[in-house]
Amino acid sequence: MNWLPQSIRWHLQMWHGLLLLVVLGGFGMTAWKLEQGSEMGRVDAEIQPLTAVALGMFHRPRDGPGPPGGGPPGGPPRRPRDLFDPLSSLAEDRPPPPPTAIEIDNWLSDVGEQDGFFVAWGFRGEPLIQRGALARSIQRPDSADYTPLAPRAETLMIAGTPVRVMVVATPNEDIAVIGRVITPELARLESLKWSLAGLGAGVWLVGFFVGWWLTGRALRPIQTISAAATRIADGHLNERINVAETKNELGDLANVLNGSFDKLEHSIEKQAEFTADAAHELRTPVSVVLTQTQLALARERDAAEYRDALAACERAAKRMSSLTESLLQLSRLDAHAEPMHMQTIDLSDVVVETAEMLRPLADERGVTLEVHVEPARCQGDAEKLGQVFTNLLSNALHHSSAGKRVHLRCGMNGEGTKASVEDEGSGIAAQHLPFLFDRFYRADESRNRNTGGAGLGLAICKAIVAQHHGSIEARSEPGKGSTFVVKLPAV
Amino acid sequence: MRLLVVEDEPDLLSIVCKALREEGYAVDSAADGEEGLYKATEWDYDAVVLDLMLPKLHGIDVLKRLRAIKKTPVLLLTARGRVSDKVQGLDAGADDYLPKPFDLNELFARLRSVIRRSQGEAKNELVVQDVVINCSARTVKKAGALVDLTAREYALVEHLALRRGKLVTRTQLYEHLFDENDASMSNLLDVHVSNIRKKLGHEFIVTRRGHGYCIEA
Repeated sequence: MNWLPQSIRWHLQMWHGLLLLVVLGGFGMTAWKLEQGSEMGRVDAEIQPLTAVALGMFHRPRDGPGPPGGGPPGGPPRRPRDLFDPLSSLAEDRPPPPPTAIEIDNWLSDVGEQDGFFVAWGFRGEPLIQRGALARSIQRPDSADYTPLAPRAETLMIAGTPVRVMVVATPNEDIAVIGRVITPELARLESLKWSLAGLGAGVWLVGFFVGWWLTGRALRPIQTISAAATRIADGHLNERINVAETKNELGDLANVLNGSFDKLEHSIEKQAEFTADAAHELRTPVSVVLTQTQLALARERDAAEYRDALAACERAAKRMSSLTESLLQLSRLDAHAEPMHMQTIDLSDVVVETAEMLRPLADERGVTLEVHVEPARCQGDAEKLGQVFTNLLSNALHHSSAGKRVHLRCGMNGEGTKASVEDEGSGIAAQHLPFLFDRFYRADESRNRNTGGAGLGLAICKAIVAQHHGSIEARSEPGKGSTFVVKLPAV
Repeated sequence: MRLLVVEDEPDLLSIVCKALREEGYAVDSAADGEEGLYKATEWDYDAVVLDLMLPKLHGIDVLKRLRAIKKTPVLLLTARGRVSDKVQGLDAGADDYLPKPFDLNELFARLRSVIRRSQGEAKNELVVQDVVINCSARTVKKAGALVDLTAREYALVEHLALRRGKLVTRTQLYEHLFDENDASMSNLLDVHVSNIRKKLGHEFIVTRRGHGYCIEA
């Protein structure tokens, strides 16, 4: 069925049309059949009383005038069995020649027609006998399976004319048929048939088109939604599907779609912002390289000037390199493509190792590291978690002035593993706290960009901790210090 | 000409200052917004080169607070290059906007343009009697012949020529020809004036004893 349009509307229409056809057809045929039955029943009811009259004709004595209603001329009817036994002799005659059509007609009009009703019987109506149904019923009375013929009504064609008859057995076991021509009835039925057909076709057509209109109306919202969604997806992300009615199923669908578009727009905005921020961060080191080299090349300079320029370029290049590495790591983490070797590890080992690695920096800044750890089993990638704590500890050290302390803690509780880095530095203002882990967010602008990095460190920490199904949060009191807490789920 | 450069990236700050000094400007520097605002309000710079992403005080706030008091030309030099940033910066009172990374020559030209406009000059050339001063080429011609001036001498001539007809005090000259890094002696000024008179004619610079100098219109 591939050549048919695949749309829902067409499918609905096809099924609707088919159903309607079946229903209307069934209804029409039933109605016609009922009418036919009732018409025939009416005719039969007319014939019924005449059956007795006709049978009475066969009782009349042979000699004497024919019955007023007309009896068989030329003697008693031959018994049907004679017809089947050509060798049986009949007193009178040779087997009568098969009646010609004209003869039958004439005979019909001669014999027994009265008020439109006629009587015919057995042997004369050879064609009658040879009609399938009647032929079967003619049997020799002395044959084993002879059953007396029960009167029944039939519709037959005699010489091209439709007749409705009652078929009865005569007393001498011939077959008699009493009935009348039903051409008018049949014509009426025929016209009824055509009327019903015409009406049915008309109703079907109307129903079909009403259905078409209804499905169109019902499906229009889908088209509207589809058109709006296409337009939005093509780039007009700030638009939304217009939901006129919000209570029906399509309204729900539109709302769900609008919700998805909200998320999509937000996500794309965030991405664009991220990309813009990343490019922006690169601009300053690029600017340094460009300006330094432009100036260095502007005129003849001595070696020391060239060295200074090149050293500045190197610093800028390192900045750019570290920035791109961080960006790449973040994008891998986002795509869940950063290789994580999850094993059962002791988080306290990671914390202690990190403390040892950064001890020289702490000493340099005059900050004391205090490590309070207990064994803390968890599932994780030791190297990546090490990166997290290195970042947190180095932030803490940079925020602490000489003489202050930084506390490293690690332990287990009912919910899992918890580790924290607490400093006694300047603290972070409450307004920054919600954005601290955002990409490129730098709460403390006074930290020189050279040492501070681009603001991606905490974002990377958050992404790594998220991959471990854990959480990271910051608490701070300006003037007193800050604490960063990492929680990992129980193994 | 004395300029102020406010930029928090040290490598960039040092190189821009150096480049501008090589161009003949006296250059002061500031590494954060507060210092930048302080210096800009304290002295009358010929122009300020201002970065936006500054610690302590955002560049836009520096600009707005400066504009409340002074009309010093400000050129924004910043990594933020979106149209909305430019519009915000210019509407806040900046005279020009140059995104990073930038070409040094473009920076020089835009500075000259911004300073020229603030001095009320329409052209790059200043003509005083038979002396023609080309501000972009930093050359001086007397009667069509090129006159060899040192950078300081040129700066002095340019400064006085831009204010021709008006008196310029010695203090003002100091403030505009020497930056904070110069440990200059005051009589250096007299030496420069004397040298200029030798090259351009004694009447070129007029001394108002006790007040200052001027070039007559």
